[in-house]
Amino acid sequence: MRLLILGTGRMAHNHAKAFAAIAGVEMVGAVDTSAENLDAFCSAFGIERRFSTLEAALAWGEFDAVDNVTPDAVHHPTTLLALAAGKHVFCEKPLATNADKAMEMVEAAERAGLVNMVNLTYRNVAELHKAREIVAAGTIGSVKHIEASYLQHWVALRDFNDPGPWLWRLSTGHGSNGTLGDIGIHILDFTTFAAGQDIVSMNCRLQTFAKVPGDRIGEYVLDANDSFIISAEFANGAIGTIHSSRWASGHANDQRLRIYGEKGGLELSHGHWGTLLRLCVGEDVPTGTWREIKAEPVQTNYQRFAEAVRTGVTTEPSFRHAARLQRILDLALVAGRDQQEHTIRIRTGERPSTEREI
Amino acid sequence: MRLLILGTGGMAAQHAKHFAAIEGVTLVGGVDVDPARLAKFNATHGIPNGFASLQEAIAWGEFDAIANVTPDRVHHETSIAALQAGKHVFCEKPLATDAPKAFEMVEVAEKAGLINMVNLTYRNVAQLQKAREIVLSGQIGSVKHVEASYLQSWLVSKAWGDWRTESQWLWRLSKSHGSNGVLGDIGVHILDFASYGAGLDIDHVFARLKTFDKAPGNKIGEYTLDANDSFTMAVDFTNGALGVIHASRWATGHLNELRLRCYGDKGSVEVRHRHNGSELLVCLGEDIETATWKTLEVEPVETNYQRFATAVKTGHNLEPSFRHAANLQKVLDLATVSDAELRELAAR
Repeated sequence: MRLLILGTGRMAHNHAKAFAAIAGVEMVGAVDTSAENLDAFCSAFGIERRFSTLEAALAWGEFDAVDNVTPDAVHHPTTLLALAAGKHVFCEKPLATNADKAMEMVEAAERAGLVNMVNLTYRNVAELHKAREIVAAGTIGSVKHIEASYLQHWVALRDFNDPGPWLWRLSTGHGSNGTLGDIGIHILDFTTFAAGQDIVSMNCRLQTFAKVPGDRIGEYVLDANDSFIISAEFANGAIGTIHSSRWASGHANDQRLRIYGEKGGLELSHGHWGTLLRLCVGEDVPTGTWREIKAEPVQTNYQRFAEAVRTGVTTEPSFRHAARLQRILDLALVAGRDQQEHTIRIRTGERPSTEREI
Repeated sequence: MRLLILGTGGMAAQHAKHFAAIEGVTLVGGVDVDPARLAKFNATHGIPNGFASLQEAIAWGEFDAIANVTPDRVHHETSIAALQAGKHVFCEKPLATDAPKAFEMVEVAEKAGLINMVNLTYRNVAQLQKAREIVLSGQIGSVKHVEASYLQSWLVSKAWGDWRTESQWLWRLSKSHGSNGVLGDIGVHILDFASYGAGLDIDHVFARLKTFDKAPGNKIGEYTLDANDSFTMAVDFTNGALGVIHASRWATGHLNELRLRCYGDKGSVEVRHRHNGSELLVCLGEDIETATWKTLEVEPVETNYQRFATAVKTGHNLEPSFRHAANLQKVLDLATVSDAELRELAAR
């Protein structure tokens, strides 16, 4: 696969490192509006062709796929352009800034029969796949009760008198949808992927905490949500809570998922410290004894994308899957405002990519 | 304090044992409608007087206070009768079957100036008391996010017996046998654990209750299995912090476990109360930069029984008071409405 890297910011370095290590993948070009960033990036990774716009790169055209690492708001127009030019696309999350735009991307990709995948990075956690396997095998029985959290502490640690590059993440006017937009999709995917259950009904509570007098730093109005709680019912009738905060002192970047079924319990914790998957089933049930489960490494999204382009068959996480999650996030914003229950006709779980209903 | 034990069932033995061990407390009488159970109870605990009804005991009158260990729906009527006779009352939880009844009890007790306390047993967990102390001292700063769970697994595990055949569990699954499910059974405990530990009052609540299919036709003998097994609440507190409060009887791996995680802008506390011990973890001061948690050792605290004895001695009411329990009951009542109407409700 001949790959074009679109956008050369911080996240692009991770992508380039990962793709460079995959046999058969050649990074042939990169695009950035900043010549300085572009040159530094291309030198660092030995990339030959440099472009200031995607259009210029497409005019050249000698690549098979685009790795879209542009800012969130640019994912939609750039991905559509690349697809229209017949290029496969690996897109950073979130796929788009709302579900309608995301669905447009899904349809364009599926109509063109091109490989389309989204970088939901926690799919690279082997224990998450193992957890899904255990639940799907019926080891814990039918799922009844779920609690999932994604906790970060970075806002609690910030000095608002000395704002940094993180400031835009606190402001809707600068394109941030707060914690919900930033990490909501990760914990929704983490939960529904492991539980093998779609959310069918939900409510959401959002909160933005006061940070500075007047909630404003220069041109930045600090109005993006800091915390959310999604109260959900799943397709099989299980109930659950998915919650998140960036004020959670003591948790740098931790996901935790607890799933209880009619035969057993499963707990998955993931953070900078590592990953822990624990299970309580069978003879351990009466004593409440938990045992650690080890998992074999899994393919990364980068590897899965490379393979999909080679075989011509899109694998998960697909654009369609990400668009479904985006629909839930959009509804969470609505519920956050009206405090009503919202039923979701679409499903977040994995479906054959031939499905047309969303 | 001369104490009358009202009701001599399972939980009454705990009360008798704890009160008997407190200096200055004398168990002077027991009351039960079942004469055999009463006689056995009084003999076991060396209690000299037995009565078939509270009215009989009040007519006798030689006691200062009662421990009300009657079935839930009898708490209201018996507590009010005792208060009207000028007796202090220590009542088992829940205070009443609904908030209006609970507030009636509050009014009667407060107007009479009598001691009124509720046995929210997890107040006896030293780690919870220490967590609250840390929160109130400002060491974790302003609280932003709370998660609390009360997890049991007796619908899966046989560690406590088999709910499919034993009436002591079956009635808890059936509304017509007086159960309001997991919400009624342990909801008050986890609401108290969360709001007391975090030092916050609940402002709004959105609740979801769930009753899962458990038997063919959801019926076992005379028991219709229609009481809730699991609930989740999404709340906000009066300071704006968000909170998740949830409970289930399906949570395998947790026999009877309460957990509270409380995050502030300067630090965090986590309390874990398991069947085999309690833990308090904190992340404070410079440790927040590295997200390092430490376990804190804590000193034992006074039990509710001891606090009640102290309150009667000094004449000053202590927590957990009737008023506090009535406020929690209001949130529980709202949770049922919120679930039915699928919308959030104001708790204040």
